[in-house]
Amino acid sequence: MANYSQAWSASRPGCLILLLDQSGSMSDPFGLQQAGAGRRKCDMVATVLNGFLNELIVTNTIAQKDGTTMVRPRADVAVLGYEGSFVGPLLGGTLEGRTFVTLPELQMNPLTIERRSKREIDDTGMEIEIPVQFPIWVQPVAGGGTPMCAALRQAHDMAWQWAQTNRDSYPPVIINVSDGMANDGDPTEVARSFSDISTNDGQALLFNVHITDINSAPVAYPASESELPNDRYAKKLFAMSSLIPETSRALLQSLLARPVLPGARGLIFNGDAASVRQMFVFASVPATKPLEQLEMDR
Amino acid sequence: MHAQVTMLRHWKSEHSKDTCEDACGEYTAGGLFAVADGAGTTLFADAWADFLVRHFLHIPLLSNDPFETEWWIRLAQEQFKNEFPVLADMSWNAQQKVQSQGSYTTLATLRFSRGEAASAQAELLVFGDSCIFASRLSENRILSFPLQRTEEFERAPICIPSKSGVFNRYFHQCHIRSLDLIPTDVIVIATDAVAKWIVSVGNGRYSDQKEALQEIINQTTDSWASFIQERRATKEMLDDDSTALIIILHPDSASTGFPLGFTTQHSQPVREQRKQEFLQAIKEDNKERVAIYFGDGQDLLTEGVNISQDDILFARQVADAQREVLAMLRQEVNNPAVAAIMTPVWQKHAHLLYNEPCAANLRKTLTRLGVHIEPHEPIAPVRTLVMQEPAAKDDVEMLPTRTFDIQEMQRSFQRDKEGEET
Repeated sequence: MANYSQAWSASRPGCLILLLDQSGSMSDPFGLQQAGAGRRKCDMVATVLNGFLNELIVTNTIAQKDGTTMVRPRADVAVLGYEGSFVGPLLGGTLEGRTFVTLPELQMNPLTIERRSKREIDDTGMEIEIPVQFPIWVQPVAGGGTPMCAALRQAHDMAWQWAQTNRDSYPPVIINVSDGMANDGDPTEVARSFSDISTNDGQALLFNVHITDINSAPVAYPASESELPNDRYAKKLFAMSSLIPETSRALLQSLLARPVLPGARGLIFNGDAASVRQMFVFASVPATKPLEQLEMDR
Repeated sequence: MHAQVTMLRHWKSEHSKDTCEDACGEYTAGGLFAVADGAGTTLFADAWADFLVRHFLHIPLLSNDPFETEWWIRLAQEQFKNEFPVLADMSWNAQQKVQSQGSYTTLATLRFSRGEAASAQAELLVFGDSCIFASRLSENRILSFPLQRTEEFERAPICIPSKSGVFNRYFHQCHIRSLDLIPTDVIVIATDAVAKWIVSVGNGRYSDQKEALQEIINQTTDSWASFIQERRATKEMLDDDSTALIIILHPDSASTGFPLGFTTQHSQPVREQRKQEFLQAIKEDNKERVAIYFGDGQDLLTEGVNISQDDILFARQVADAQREVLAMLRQEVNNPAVAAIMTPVWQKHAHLLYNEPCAANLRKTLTRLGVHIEPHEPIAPVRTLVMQEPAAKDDVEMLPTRTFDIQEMQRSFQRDKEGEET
């Protein structure tokens, strides 16, 4: 079997570890020309994350023969935050303190469910308000420094343990969302250590989303350093980010509607709220099939 | 002619008989047969597939005209809503899934339009990747419709949505063809796992497609489950719901099967209801509904409704303009830049929609969103559709002269428009 070809399934779940920078600078707002304009970066990241988990659960919701529905446990998810001296799980409520949780556990245990209205258009063009339930798992937090190395080390240990007990699964995917540099060391070395984590389907993947409040066009999935700004930190992130598996490249191209070169890295630099969502969506689908042909279970 | 019908169903490993998302049905006396494959990524796909099969057997879709198709599907969508489980009883994620996606299904249908002792004509109509196969004793090759090659099954099939807001009459189109048949011919309607296996010659096991198809035809309701499981075990066939509806045609003298009927039009109550709804749309001057209820015109012409081809073509133009603006508005309604995005979209069609009653709500919404709706171009003159004197239903000589091809008229109009633009 080719590498990075195992679909996420109930019998061979995927592993997704999301690392969220909660340092003080995350309380700054996005620029007015960016997606998330005027809103605090930590608020937008929390909104995007909650929306993403919502979609992941809804996508994996299926009907059962008694007419009820269930959520297929196709992924184990961990959400870690880091700021100041804190690195740890961010889920609250009944999931507080939990590292990995399954999709059914997420579905049953949101921190809260907000009642919101969604504006839609009916068949005649009239606006209608549809009540929707919007679950919340993670609240925005911002304060302190950026202990990225400590966060990466914890993610490394979690991913390593997980890979030992899920040998036949798609390897762990770790996504690090941050707006700045680590202030607890050089994260490049820690990032290199992820190469010792693997399943029978390939090595673990570390992707990075760098977000900024500068109105600058994001550089997404670069294939060489020369595509990035002449910036030491950008180069560091490039070195830290895993290559996009060849089995995923075609899917990413169809998601972006543009070519993605061989050798492209899982990195978005100078991104905004839309970039965070894009990376989450890309990293969460199996590498082998287009979205509309996603098999529910194998 | 007689038809001997066998329905073979086996479900995906993770499903059961009750959750199998394939549906099939037959009405041999009317010459109607249908198979549907619900899309497993959507909720209640099994219910939608089953509903559409029953809908076809009751009111068959008679052509692939886009407006006729839309009339037929809208009818199904409205009726299906009434059969649907209550949203409030569902979990938050199930509610969201139903609200945002609805259900989807493929549909493959066979309708005998003419039947005599020694020959028959059938109309094949397919949405998606369920397929219809036909085999004749004297021929080595089989018909495979609409897909002929294995790689075609890799593409995402176009499925019929249960949500009205998602349907697009120019995207959700079916494939259609006619077929002449004789006694001893065999037709198989199959969902994609079985269809792909046939097209791939049993994944290379057999010498040709006919041999693979014959293997399916040889199965019985008792042997089907083990046949499918064996094919899955050897990886020849995908683990998916597997359905085959087999129709073997016999001469009447054979006394095998049941008498095969044929269907060329809708029942009188259906036509009458449709006529009333069409007349109401005319009265309200709602051109979108006029275009949809008119459809391909066959039902209404049969009921003596007489309206000019130009009027119907104009109604279609208004309906298409409305559809394009609505589709974009649905997509962008929550975008902060909606006014800037919708202004050029509206202006492209404003000359048609500015005074139309069917676009009243659309105009109101766009105005509220900040779109300036006064047209930049001159407005088309207000055009009220005019019913002409009804033709006598028994005026058989009149009817053929009033038969027209709406799609040819539209293509002609499009060519004229392109000619003007160049």
